[in-house]
Amino acid sequence: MRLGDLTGLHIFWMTIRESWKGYVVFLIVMILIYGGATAAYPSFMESVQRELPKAEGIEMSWEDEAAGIANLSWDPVEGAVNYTVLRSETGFNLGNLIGWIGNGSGNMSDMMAYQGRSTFLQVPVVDNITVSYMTLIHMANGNVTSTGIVVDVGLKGENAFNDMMSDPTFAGFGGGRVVDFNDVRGFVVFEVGSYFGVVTAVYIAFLAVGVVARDVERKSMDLILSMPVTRRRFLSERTLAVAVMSFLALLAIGLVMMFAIRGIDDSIPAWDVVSTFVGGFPLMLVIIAWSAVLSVVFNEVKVAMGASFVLVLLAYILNFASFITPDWEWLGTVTPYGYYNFADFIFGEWDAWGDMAILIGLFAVLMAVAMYLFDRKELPT
Amino acid sequence: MDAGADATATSKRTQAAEPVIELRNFVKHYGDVEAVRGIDLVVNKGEVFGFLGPNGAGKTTAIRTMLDFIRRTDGDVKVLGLDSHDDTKVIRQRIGYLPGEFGLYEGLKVREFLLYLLDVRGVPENEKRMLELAEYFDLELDRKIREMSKGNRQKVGLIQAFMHDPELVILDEPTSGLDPLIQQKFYKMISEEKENGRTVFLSSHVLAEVEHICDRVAIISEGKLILVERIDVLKEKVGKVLSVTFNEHVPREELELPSIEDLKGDGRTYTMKVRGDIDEVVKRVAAHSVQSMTVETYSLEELFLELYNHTDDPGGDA
Repeated sequence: MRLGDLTGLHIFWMTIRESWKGYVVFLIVMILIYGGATAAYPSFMESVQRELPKAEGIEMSWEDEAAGIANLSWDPVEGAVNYTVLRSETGFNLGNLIGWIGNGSGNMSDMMAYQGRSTFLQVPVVDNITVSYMTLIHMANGNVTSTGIVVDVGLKGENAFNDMMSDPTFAGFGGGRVVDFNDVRGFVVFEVGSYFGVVTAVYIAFLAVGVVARDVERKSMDLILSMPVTRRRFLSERTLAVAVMSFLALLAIGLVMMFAIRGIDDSIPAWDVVSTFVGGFPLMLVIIAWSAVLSVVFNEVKVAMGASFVLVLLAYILNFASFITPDWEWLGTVTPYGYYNFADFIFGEWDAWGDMAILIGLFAVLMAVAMYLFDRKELPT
Repeated sequence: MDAGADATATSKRTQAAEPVIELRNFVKHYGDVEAVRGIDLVVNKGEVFGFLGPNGAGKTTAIRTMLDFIRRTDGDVKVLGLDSHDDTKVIRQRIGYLPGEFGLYEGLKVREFLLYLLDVRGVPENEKRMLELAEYFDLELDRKIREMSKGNRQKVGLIQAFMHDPELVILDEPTSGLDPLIQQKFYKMISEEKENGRTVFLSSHVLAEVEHICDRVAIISEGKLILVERIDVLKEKVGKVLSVTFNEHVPREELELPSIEDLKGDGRTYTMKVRGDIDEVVKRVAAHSVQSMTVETYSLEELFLELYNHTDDPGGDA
């Protein structure tokens, strides 16, 4: 009993039969790349761990990193009777400080974070906000000094990736959002989501450009179409095979990523991860359909492939550019990539059913075009 | 030669016959290029029909139009009484086809590929027939296609064309790449298929093969049909080559008869083409003492060359 006997879809099964080896290799490579990138997250975070600032005579350590509380302590100064710790988000103005120091109180009480004999203080640490702390030392002889105990507490400059992601030029990597590397999903959006749509699409396009052109090129089309099959059935079964392979690839990658991500943070819903990849299927359908059109138009696989690859890259770049500035936002409406947002899926915020419908509609239109052209095509010898 | 008249005459002779292929004023243009310039042709059920012509004459264009791989510009093309475009799926169900040049699925074994074609045809039960044909042509079914020679690939093509027992088989250069032994087997199979009532339409460059297996032949040149004739009639019509050596000197004038063409000789030995009544020629030769004499039938090859030497004015509207 052959699989085709069960379904009657002999061309469909033959397409899979002919492609399965390369397909399995592709899947393994993709799983290794995506899964491997995710598995590298803990060591990556360790390597870019937020380092607290250091200055002479000052120690800082995390009291509770997740809550953003650090311990700020300084060496006791001989002869000191009191310490005043000032806090500023805009930095310290020397003139004001001199005034403050000069009269011993001044009007800067809002800057005061601590006053007393202790050499220890807990301070909040907030991402992307730099807070400067200065400790003034009141000596027994009435002098006040601040030598060597000024420190900026914050994360600016300490986590280059998070800083980079806040730059609009890189907004495309996060599907328009500033991704946070402290969340594994933010990392996956950048490390996987930023190119997943292109790499997967290129392979799917590679399969799809052969639906007609491969048989024309190897001169087997006359033989196959001398069988009692219509051109539409031939194209439909071949395209269906590529679509099914595409869906299964997305599902397999999604499942592997689900285990990889939840292995790091099991609070992330499994479906959010799986749907992130499976949700790319409508986009892949569009790429399959335009590749099918090119496969009908061109008689050489290489030419169809080149054209499809150029379209994939162009579509990706247009979508990326649409996030850079509001003036370019419209670009996202003219590329299918604009209707699939990896980050929205993985953060469980996707509800763009309309976008999905647009992609499926575009697939249907392109397939109708492919059928129309194939029906009228004069098959070359 | 008036091919149109020939075609009409043939048509009259086979009036009771059932047409399997009908081309009526068939025209095919590729842009400005007139590949086929209005041909009329009828092939009847049970015939083995040869379609001859040089490269670019329009043979493959006509065949590929019958199979709806390309579309006619004008005229009617019917196969098994059905329109070649509108009813293409039904037609394909009932025919077998061997393309002149074809590729196979290199990664498959022969058996897998042929079973696949049977499945696509919807006749998996014909596996037994496929096995019989493979045995007949001595084809190893469990070899990978990519490892096969051109001759073996051609065998695969032939088997797939016949394995579903089609009513009509269209073969484009069927013996290309086959060794002489397999060619003989192929000729034998065609004879058997003919006896079973199968219609075979084949194009070929191998004139001896057409001469050997076909009932009728059509010759196409530059998109026009220049001749349609039964092989036996054709041979008769095109005449014979006579070579004679006399024991004495015979003046050239003695041999100049209306049925003799292309007379060459030195007074003792002559060669000549005899078209029509040979009786008059033999009697004229016998009036002298003859040392030796041979009579050879004109081969189709020679006919072919002669026709092409006159393609500027083929003398028919075909």
